[in-house]
Amino acid sequence: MTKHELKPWEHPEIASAHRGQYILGYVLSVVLSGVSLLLVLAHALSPLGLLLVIAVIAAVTLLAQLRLLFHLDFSEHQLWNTLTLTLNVPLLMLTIGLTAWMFRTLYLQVMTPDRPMHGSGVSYQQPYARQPMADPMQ
Amino acid sequence: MIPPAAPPAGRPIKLWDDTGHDHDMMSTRLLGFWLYMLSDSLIFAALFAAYGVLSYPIATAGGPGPAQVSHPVRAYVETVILFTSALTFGSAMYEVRRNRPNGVIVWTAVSFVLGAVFLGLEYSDLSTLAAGGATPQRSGFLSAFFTILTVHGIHIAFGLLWMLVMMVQTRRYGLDDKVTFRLANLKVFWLYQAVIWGLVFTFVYLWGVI
Repeated sequence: MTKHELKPWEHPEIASAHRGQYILGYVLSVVLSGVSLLLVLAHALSPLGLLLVIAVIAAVTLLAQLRLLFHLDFSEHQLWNTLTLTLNVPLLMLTIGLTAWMFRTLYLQVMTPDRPMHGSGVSYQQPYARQPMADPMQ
Repeated sequence: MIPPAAPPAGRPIKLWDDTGHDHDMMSTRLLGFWLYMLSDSLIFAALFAAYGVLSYPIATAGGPGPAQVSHPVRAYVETVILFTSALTFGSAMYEVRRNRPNGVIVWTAVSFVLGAVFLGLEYSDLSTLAAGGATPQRSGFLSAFFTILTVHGIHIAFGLLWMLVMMVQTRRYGLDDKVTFRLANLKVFWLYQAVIWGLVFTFVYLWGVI
């Protein structure tokens, strides 16, 4: 123990536990999720519009939670947490974005191209007939 | 952080500290745990991607699709319960800051009960679906749906176990260095599960009924 060492509860991570921030983060999360729910239940917009709006609301909620619940900022104490999260974001976007793009293209090419995604009220009628595929290794 | 002292005159400048073992243990371990949570977010990214590509009509194999298995109002109730649990665990951290072990135990117990209620509701949702024939084996879509919810539920279950352990440790050891940083890690873990659930609510339950 050196004289410089903090008491455990005086550590910046613990000292950042502000009750007001937790409550604000909670209220924002519950209210914004509720707004999304009401918009969807009321079918307030077109399906694509609704998807975009609830995605934006989810993104805003996420940012508020990172700031208010995880206390991420650019201070010396939190800099590395913020930096590693930022470096992680491209991985998340590539994982989800490239997969979605790849499969959407695939489906459009192998299925009847009328409806790529659920939600437009048309059900897929004719099962995709399996066809032998050339083995690329041969 | 201790400001670096100017080297005494006449002695060589040392580029590293070979004496001090007063590293900030809690910050180092919290960063390590944060990196683990980021890798966990990649697991969820893969699950969200799989759910997205298996939401196409062909992946339902003629069985129930997103609109039939999503109950957004029920999911919203679960969302509020889990967010409330995260809030009460925030209160537990506030009690850590004020160095009050009993307050920590009480608020952790409240978080535990709310988390258990959430897990019970999630289990009842999934078992109702399975009883109606919508089992994971039914279609690729249902496999993805059950997987993303079950993986999240397993995280919640481990969080609950962790809370029990921390209540015992707080009672037994008080708020010493180790208990404090474990509680701080648990806070990151638990609030992260609430954040992930917020995304599940939007992109599984709400998107499903659009």
